[in-house]
Amino acid sequence: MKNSDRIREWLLGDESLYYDTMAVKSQSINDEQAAVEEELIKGSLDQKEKTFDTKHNREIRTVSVLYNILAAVFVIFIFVNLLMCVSYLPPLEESQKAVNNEVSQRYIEKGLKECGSTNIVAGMILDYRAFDTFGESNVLFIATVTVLILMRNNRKKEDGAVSDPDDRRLEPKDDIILQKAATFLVPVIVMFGIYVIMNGHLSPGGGFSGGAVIGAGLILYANAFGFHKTERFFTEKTYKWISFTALTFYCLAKSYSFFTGANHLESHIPLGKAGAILSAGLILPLNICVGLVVACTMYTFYCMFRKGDF
Amino acid sequence: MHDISAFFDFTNHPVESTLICFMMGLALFLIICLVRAVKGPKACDRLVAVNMMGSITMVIIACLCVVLDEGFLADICLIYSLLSFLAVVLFAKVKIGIYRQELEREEAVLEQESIDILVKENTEGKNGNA
Amino acid sequence: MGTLELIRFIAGIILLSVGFVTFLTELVGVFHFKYVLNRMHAAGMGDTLGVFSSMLGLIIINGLNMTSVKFGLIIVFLWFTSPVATHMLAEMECGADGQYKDECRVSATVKELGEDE
Repeated sequence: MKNSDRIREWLLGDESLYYDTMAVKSQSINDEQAAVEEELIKGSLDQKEKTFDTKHNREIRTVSVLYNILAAVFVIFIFVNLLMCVSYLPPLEESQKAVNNEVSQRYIEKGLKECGSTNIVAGMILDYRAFDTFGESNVLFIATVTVLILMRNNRKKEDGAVSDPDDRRLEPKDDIILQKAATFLVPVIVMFGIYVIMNGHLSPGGGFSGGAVIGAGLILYANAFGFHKTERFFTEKTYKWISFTALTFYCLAKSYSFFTGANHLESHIPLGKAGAILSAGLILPLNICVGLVVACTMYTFYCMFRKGDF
Repeated sequence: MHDISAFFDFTNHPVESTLICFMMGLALFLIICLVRAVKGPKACDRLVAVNMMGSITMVIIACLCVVLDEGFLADICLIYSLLSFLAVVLFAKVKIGIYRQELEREEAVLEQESIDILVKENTEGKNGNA
Repeated sequence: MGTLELIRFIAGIILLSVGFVTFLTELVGVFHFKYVLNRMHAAGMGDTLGVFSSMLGLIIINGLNMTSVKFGLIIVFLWFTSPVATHMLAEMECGADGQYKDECRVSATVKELGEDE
């Protein structure tokens, strides 16, 4: 190529014909030149194969064998370590007398009187250790927001973007049997979930399991009727507002308890009679908050991984 | 009786012992179902086996609820049946969608190949004529 | 045990045995048949009759209290959901594998009849 052509090419920014492939010219080529160029191309491809050839490369083979050996050694080391730690634990009968179980003994004895709930586990996670549960609900929220950010479609909506991506075009839609069954089942499931949440302080259950059941009911509804109908009442805004409100209420309510407890004031939240539904102070509202966050999180994750956006 | 320590005490606790015998038999069925889940040549076989395992587990949990005289195990039974049903429905839907997508792709490839063959024949015909 | 309790116990055990035998038959059927659609017949039997008679036996043994009402709710729930699950499984088999024509005799598919899917 002449120099002026090269300069023009560089100015206009065309791709150079000599980059990464040897001797691909657009003009007519003689046969000799064609043969020479073919040999050069083959040589470069062979070079590529030699560089990326993993089967006959000695270094790669030694490194992979070494890696396997080191992985096995690492696993055995951790295994032996954990078994040694387990052997230091006290045997089963002496657990009542060991020093590290005073705390649990006190919680079991005074749990009912101080929390007011017959379910000691609910009293633990929502009364004695309410701060940890607050952290857990926050972790759920953060995880969902992170997934929303990572899977965001940056297409602008003015392009007339397709609302249904290609993935679910061919799935069976509008299955009459499933729809009729879902018409009966979804209210029952949601009611059952609400029952499990409300009875968190009386029998095993609580916010987390009840929220999971409500999330399952929403997933069934979305599966039977399609995402379009579910978007009528559950959009991205709904999710954000529900989670935000629930977590803020949790924070404010528990901050009040912390404040009055730390300053030795008397918090005027009644404990009520153990066994009634309106008892145990703040456990019932906190259960509802946690349940809402969990239900929204489950449905959001399902939506994200099936559809890509809300 | 509020614990399962007396397994075969038929004289003192006949109800609980008989129920525990039933539970053991049903648990054996559960393990045998797993064989069908592993063997079954198609995915549908495996789903059928998993559905069966769910139903048998429900009966086991209900028996346990009567033996231990606790009320909350019935709630767990209901939740279990709900989750098993949901899993089967979702899995079937996704598999049908995937299969139909692959079918469409194969048909598109076949169409493209037939079009290529037609184009080749046309160009050869033209070259032959020209 | 008093006579009433004995009668309740015997009736409950009989119903539980019926459920047990149903599960056994279902298991034998699932292993004996050669094709998935036949196996689904056997599996559906366990879902409905097996669980129904077992739960009825447990209700009779337990007496009449809140737990028995929950067992009744479980039976109703299962009778609603099990046929739907079987329907989706059959649709997956016939709509997703395409090899069912080798195993069974198909008179006319829905497409050939001229209706929409």
